[in-house]
Amino acid sequence: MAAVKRTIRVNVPIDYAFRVLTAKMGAWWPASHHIGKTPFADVVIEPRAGGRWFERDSSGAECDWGGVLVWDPPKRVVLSWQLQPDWQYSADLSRASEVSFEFIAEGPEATRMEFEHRHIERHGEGWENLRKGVDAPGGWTAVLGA
Amino acid sequence: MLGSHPSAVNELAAGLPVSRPAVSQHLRVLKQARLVRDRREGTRRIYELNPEGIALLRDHFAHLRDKALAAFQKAAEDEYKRQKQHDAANSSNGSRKAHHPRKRTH
Repeated sequence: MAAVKRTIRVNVPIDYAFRVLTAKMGAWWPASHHIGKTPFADVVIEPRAGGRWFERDSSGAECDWGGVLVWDPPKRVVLSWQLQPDWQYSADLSRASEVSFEFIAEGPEATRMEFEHRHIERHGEGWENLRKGVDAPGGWTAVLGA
Repeated sequence: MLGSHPSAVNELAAGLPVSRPAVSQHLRVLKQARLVRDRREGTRRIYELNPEGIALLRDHFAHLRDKALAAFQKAAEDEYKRQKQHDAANSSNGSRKAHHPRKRTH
C-alpha cells in the first residue's frame, strides 16, 4: 500500500490544534497550491462526516478537493483527496486517497499529530493504460511507497 | 495508446472517437501534469509517456505535504502565542476594558 506518515508536535492544546487544522485551513495552507483559476480566499472543511472539502476564491467560486470521511473532534479527522494527477476533481471515491490527521494530547499545551496520506495508489488506477509500456522500475506502489 | 509507442496527435486521434483538438487539449493537460512529454520531429509533434511523471507526482505530493504540515504547525503555535499574550495583557489590565475585542483572526 502506498502510504506516507508524518509525526508533528505542536505546542498548543489538543482542541486548539484540531480547530486551527480544520477551521482555519485557509489561513495556513500554502497559497501557491490552488486548483481554481485564481488563488483561494479560503479552504473550507465542512465540520461533519460527509461534509465537503473545497477551496473558495474571492469571487465565491468553489473548487472541490474532497470530502470528510471521519469527523471526531478533537481527536481525528479523515479527508478524501479527490484531485487526480491532472488536478481534476473526481467524485469517484475509489480513485481517492485518504488524508488522516490524528491528535494525541501529550500535555496541556502539547499535542502530537499523526498524519497519514494513504491509498495514494488509487490515483493510479485510471492511469494504467498510460503506464503500460513505461520502462520504469516498479509500478505505482513501488514508486510511491519508496 | 501512448503506452505502446510514441505517437503524433493525428495518429492518436485516428484511434479515438474524439476530435483531434480534443486529443490535443487532453495531451496538453497530461503534459502539464508531466505525465507525457513531447518533441518536435520535422513538422510533427510526437508525444510519449514521461517516465519521470509518476516520480514527479510523488515528489509534488511530498513537497506539498511537508510544506503544508510545517505551515500548520507554525500557524497553530503563532496563533496560540498571540492569544496567550492577549489574555495576559487583558488580565494585567485588571478591570480596565480591553482595547479591542478579542480578534478572531481569519
